Amino acid sequence: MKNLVNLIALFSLLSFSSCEQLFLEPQPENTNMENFDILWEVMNERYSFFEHKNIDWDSIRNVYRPRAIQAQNELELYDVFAEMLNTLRDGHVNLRTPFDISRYLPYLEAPANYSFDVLERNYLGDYRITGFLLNQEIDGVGYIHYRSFTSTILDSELDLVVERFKDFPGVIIDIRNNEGGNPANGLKIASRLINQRTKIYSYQTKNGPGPNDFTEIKDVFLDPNEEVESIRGRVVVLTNRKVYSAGSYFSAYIKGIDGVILMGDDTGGGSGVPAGYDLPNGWYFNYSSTIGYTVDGLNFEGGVPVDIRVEMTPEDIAAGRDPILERAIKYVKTGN
Amino acid sequence: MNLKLYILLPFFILLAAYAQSQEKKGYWGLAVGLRSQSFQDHLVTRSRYSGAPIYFMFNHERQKPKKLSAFQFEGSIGPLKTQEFETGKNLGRYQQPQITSYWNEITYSSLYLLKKTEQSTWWVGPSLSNIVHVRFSPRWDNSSINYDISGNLQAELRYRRSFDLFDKVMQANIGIKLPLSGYVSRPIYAGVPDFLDQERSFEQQIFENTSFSWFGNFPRVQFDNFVEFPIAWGNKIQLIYNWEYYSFQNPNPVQTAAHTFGVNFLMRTK
Repeated sequence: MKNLVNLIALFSLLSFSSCEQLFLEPQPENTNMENFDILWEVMNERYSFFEHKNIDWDSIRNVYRPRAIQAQNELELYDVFAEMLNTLRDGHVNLRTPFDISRYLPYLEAPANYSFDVLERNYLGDYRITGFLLNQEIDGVGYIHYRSFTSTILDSELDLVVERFKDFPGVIIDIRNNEGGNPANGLKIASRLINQRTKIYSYQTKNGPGPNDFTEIKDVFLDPNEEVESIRGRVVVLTNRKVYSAGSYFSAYIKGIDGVILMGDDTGGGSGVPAGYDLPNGWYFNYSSTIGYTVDGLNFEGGVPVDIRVEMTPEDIAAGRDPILERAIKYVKTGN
Repeated sequence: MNLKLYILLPFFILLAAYAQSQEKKGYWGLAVGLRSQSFQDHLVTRSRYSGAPIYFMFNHERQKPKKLSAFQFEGSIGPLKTQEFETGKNLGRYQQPQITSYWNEITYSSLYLLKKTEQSTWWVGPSLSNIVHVRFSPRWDNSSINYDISGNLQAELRYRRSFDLFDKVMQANIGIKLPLSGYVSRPIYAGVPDFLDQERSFEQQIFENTSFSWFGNFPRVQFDNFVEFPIAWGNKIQLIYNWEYYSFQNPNPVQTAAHTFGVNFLMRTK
């Protein structure tokens, strides 16, 4: 019996004396102040565009911290946090709560330069849908419309579309309103637009808490896909301000590819790869952690500029016209 | 089924009797239990995630008069949550503060008899260990795969003591392991794989942020304890209680602590 008591005592001692509470850092409290401070500090140490956007994050703290502390409920706290994060003017910065997601929508300030209704009613006719690639011959020119980089493109689908347009003078790739997704889909298309190893963009990554803690700028190259048919002829990529993130990355690749141009309006940007973080109250947020550059060294967080700017006015839309598409058809046919 | 049992039973009885006649002792073990675990990683959170995922272990132990060697393959899979997790609430597409934890450790120890008394033995020696601890949560966007991978040469000390209980000879084991040298691999700052470099896969980047580790920068303490009692044919059952803690500061502080409770069924092979 004495041994049994000793045994129980031994286990109890081990169970309670080795409590991890002695070692683990105390948890942050779920208060308005703690939540604000963690949100502000993480952004302060990790957000990659303060200098590029000339943002004084310390002064932002002075404005929003007292308001956050005084917030009376979750909705008020969310509003303060969302407003503060939107001072960064970055679509890759979002606060996620059970009742709302904060977002920054720069394209609302720009002309739409796109109407799928106009395209469908007046240009596309009985178009094909090959996987997620809408495609049609328009006025003797190949036309491909890719509406979301979240939709995976298969090589077999690209084969069919490329084969369809192989005898045409060129192809229009319309990515207007494409808000991003997986950049790998853009790389699949881009690898059919080159015939040699090509530099397509550069980037650097935040690698420490200091404002200048970034990796060296790294160049990224793409090899042609020699096992498949390339897209032939003149190629025009149509963009507008709603083209974002992976859409902007695809547009950045185009800047490095000879013989392919961008037309329409500048893209919406979004060159920072979003990373994630928690708040003590259970909410979570994402922020930009990298900087992307075109082959010319342009930080394209604000957008990739087009080579030929063409507008589509509300009057054009009302009249059922797409001047951007029509200008692209002319370019493919004439080279001007 | 019964026929197989009747054929195999004498075989096992003979095997056990033969094994008991040898000076060497060997056991295969299979353990199940719970690993009550907490972790905090400033790479992606300041909150503490806790839970008690299922624990399992597959081990082999071989003992000679002056040598004790042991191999262990341990694993644990399950959810960890913060205190803000609201049980039973469906919050739609909002991801509640919950992650999935995958933990695995492989250890090989080769210990030598240090001291022996009538009822107790002290064993000391090196052990090799490799930990893979992966936390996955879609909440963290592109930082969703968070991990510590570490391999270490460790110093290990075990104390074993026999005692009588219910007319049976029981044995208690208290062991401690401390890392001497090794490596720790962690995600890069912000925890996002470098997928902008499309020529390198995620698998190629896992060990990119790898540091030399020793007890000074990787303070890891493991206590491995059990009480074992004999059952039929020289086989044994162990009641396991292990405790461990480790932390690492690169690229942001991470801390993990765990209590493991389990039952290990050991079958004698020699």
